[in-house]
Amino acid sequence: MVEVEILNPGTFASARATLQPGETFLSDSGAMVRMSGNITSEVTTLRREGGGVMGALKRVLAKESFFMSTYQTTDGLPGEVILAPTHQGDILTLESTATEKWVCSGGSFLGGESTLRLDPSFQGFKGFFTGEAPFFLNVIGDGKFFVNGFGRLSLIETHDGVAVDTGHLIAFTQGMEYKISKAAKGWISSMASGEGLVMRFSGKGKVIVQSHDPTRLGALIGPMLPPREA
Amino acid sequence: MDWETIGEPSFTAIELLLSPGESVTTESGAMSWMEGELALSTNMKGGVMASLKRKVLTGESFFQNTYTAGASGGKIGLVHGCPGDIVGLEMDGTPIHIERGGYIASTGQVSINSKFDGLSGLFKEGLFVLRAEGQGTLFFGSYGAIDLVEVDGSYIVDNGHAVAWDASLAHHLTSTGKKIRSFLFGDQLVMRFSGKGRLWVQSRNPRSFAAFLHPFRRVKSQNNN
Repeated sequence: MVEVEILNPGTFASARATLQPGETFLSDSGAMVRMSGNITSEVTTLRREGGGVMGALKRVLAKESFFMSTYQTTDGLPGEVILAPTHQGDILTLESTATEKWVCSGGSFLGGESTLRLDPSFQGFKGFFTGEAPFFLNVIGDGKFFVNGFGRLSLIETHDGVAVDTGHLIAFTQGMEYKISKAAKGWISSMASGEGLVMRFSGKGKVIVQSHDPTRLGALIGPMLPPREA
Repeated sequence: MDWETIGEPSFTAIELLLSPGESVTTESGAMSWMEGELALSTNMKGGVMASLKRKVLTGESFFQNTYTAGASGGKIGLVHGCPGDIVGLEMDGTPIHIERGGYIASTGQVSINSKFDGLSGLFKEGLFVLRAEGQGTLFFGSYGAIDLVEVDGSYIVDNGHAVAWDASLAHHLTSTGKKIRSFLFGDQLVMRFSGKGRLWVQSRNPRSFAAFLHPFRRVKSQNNN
């Protein structure tokens, strides 16, 4: 089992994986900050059934990066890999076990043991809003992994359910019932409220949320910058 | 000179206590607050050519500010432009190289010059780094937390994350994967440091943040000529 540690927890957290010879680790392709000189990284595509490289490329173009890096030591000695996200915020270590399986929202999976497999074909919201549905990754297999968020990360252990704005959702355990809906009852009041889509979980399980939503920061700052070429 | 850091690692500032006659040289704009009797002189450290080189080649300021304490001494607070950590390093004569934008201030006999960094930084970071040498205290800052790595052998840092390093370390820009993949993914360009020495790495990269914000900019109207 790969030894993991969160460095500088809080605003500028990063995550360290210490690899023994023969151990491998994987991460989002852009997440590596630094690593020992005896580690090699290989970029691989995260394959969806039948998708292959072209499928992955399509998803990259659709701003859903499915390129992963895999790390291992080359010289029979231990080594380290340090990962960090783009945004200011915390990182949590989660573990996928036989009894506790997780689903991560797109962009929140930072890295994990290579015993894990990520399945991008999570079908939770099939046909809800084409192109608008939140995007999720199913974490399959047993092993430790990191999730990152913008701001503070909070773990909610719910017994009777909880509703979470999809822009704040980081991860949740499988086994809960959930449905996605508007925040308010009608469409007009829902849009007027400024709230987006809400995921309503029911039953017992764990939900991780981030205190801030990066797209709101982008929406705030973007218009202050000079226009870009189309 | 007495100094302390406040608010690390997210919103770090350094506060220096200057005894009468003591001075600190800072990057222009670094001063956040002062107290007591401090005289400011703005000068081109090392002369016009050195200042020009510093400005044009490394993106640091043309003028540098020197604050000197009067008879009753004083206090000064300094910050970096980014939220993040600050390192205060007691220089023992070993020269330090600092990446573009990292320098904040120095005391004592520390001299700051631009130094050609070879073609290693050609693609992203610029061709020049700052070289600090001499006795005194050197302050540099980052976007994010700073971790100190004691390199012995070789160590790899994602391009844009190295803040400063002992000049004794050699480094070059390289790719970790196959060439075509590196072409597709800029983040696979990394700095490989080798030798023995200290290396300071920041946990966030301002360029990644800028890349995140880019799609949120308004799109220029097609009809404007």
